[in-house]
Amino acid sequence: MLEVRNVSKAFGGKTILRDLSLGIGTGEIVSVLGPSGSGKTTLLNLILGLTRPDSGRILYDGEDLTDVPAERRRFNIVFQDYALFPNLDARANILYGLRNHPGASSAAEVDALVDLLGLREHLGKRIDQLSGGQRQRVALARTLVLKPRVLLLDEPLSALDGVIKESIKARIRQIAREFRLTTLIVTHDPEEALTLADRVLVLEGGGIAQYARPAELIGRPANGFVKAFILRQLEIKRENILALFQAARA
Amino acid sequence: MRRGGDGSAGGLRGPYAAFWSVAALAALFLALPVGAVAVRAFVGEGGAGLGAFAEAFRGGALPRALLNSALAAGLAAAIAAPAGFALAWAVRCSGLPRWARAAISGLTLLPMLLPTITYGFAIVYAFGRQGVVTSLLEAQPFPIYGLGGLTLGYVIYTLPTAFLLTRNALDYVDRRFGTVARLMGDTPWRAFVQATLRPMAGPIAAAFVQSFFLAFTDFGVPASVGGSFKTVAGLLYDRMLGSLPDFGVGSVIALAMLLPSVAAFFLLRWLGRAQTRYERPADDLPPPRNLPRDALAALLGLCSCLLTATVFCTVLIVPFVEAWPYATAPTLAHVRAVLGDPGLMAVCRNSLVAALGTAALCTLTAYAAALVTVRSELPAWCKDAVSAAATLSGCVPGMVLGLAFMLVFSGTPLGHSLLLIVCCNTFHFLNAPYLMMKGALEKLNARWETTGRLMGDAWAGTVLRVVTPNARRALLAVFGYCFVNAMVTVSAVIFVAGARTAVATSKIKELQFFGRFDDIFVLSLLILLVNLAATALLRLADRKAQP
Repeated sequence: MLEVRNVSKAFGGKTILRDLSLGIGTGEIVSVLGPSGSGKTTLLNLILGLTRPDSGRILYDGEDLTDVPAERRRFNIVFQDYALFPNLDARANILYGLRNHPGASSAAEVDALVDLLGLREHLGKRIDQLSGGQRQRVALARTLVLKPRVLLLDEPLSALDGVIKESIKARIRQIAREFRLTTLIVTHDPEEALTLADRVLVLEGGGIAQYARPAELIGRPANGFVKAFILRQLEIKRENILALFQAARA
Repeated sequence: MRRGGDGSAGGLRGPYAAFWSVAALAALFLALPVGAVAVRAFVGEGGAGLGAFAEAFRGGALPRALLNSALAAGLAAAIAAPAGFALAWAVRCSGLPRWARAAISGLTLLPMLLPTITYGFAIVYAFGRQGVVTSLLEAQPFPIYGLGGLTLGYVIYTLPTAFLLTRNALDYVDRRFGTVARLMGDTPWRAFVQATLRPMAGPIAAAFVQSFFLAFTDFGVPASVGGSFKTVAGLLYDRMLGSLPDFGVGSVIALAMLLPSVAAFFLLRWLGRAQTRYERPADDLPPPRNLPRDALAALLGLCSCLLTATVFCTVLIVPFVEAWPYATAPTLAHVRAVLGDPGLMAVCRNSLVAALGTAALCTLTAYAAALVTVRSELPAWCKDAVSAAATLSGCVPGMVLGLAFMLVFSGTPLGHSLLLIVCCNTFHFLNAPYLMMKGALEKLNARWETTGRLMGDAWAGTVLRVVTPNARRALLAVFGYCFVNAMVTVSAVIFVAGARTAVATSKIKELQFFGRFDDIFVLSLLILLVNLAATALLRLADRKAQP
């Protein structure tokens, strides 16, 4: 169980997060949704340990991690641009962390992970020879090899083509189930957030607008912001798609 | 993007180590010596006062030298900046075949591989009373000692820099504007003015200021063709290494040299900021066919190649004939004599060691400094201190730094050592390598250090395993820049090199005193060969480093 308790953070006098509290169950997938400037990235950095909160605590299974540096929290992240190391091939990227943590995964476990992510035939390739989707899977593998307790994904689908998005979504869900991995996904796309996650956290102006299951969010939006920001977008999308199919049938 | 580094202080141990290394070196080998010169100008043996100023200005020698330097440097810059741009245009905007453009670039840049002091002697042997060109023309084209020779020498010295600056700027001028101007019915000349000349005004002005700064602070050219036309650099040399060195007066002259340099530096920085920024580099589309344009480009290129060739053919001829111009039979005697002279060979070895040492130390220092400013989460004051050191290094002329080193380190165990030459060169050159490194490191992914840290790396670990391998092309380029510059520099070294640590350039100055010009040209040729070899090797390494 990951807990954020009464966390506040300001940069240069500007409040980014205000007295924020939430809990995420082990193995749960939560997506964080909000317009830019709503505090998504700051929340990610706070949980990861790259930023210290001005007040409040961050706990994992009851252990207070607020003062534990990022590298000892056993949380990890896949950045939006993946931050792969272009001087190393796919294999060396995946195995990078094992130099510092030799026991984190056995050779057999790494093999299984490589197969799960469909990377077997790409292991010898340079990073610039990989497609966007392959890069993302290498970045995922590099992170998962270290068996993080919490996995953070920053805009995991925004750099991908439409076709590959759905398969990556399925893969993320599969991994979270298989490893019972607590997963936090930051996104600005309501469709992505609602179809990928068990629960959705909607941020607005540094506070929580709503934290609920997707069906509940659709059925009972907590306020005008959730309605305008999420429901409206999804409704327009639905109408456009329905109109398309009806025109084709007619 | 890189905010929020307050997560853990332990993660800053590596960055602080890099910062304090750079800071300690810069304090000892830059701030302290330059500060000592400033103090020495005002405080002499007789206490504080303006005595040194009165002495330096007595008889009007210093103001006259300042005017002379400004005049010659101004003339040279006024020629080099537009000429550099014209050549850059010929190389970048014409339809000349690739080999022709490569030849123009190569020959225009060739003087960079030779010390400026050699230019002067080459001019004497080409245009002097018994020079190669003079004997061909059967008349001396212009008086070479004084303003004429000085200006020509400065033009040869600064043209490569003006060419490089404007060529790089041209790469960022969007060619589509030229196409649009033509489509809207502009004449070719108007289209050229609108789409090329206008956006290049800033870079051409920058080339002028940079050329002026280089010429104003150069020592090599006036040392060889200055004659009785005294420049500031010549005056400083006479007062410090003449019969009676006077540190007080020397420091005043150094300050007089430093102030215009500081002004030039900040003017350049301002010009750089004021420049039109295009969003992307111009595409490399071949320009449309246009014969008159290409003919003009070819003519310009030919002029530049001819200038380089006429001046520097002497470097290739004089060492291989018996006694130019009296006995012109070919011989290898001079080359053999130099190669067989243990003293001169020791000088060459010193040059090589000093250049390799400078390249290593300067590359490391510039890399560490750039890591601190763009790839660490150190507090702002650390980054400001590092960029201030780089700025100071860019402002201080080599002669001033050399004099400062003489003032501070003479008599210490470091005095006149090769190590001191390496340190002096490092901080003489640091600004450009620092900016090159900074530009390269800014382009690399900003998340690598965080990613490495989350996988258990210390900062230094990620720097070694990820950042450095991905910066290797920039590191090679900086290494080459420092090596070549260390091989040809004379201004600072002249004050630092000792009897046993003379390098090729300072030895050339000494050989001039004895009139041993054959040896001077053989040494110059050796410097050229070493630089050509180094350039070729680095190009090979760069090709290998390409992904």
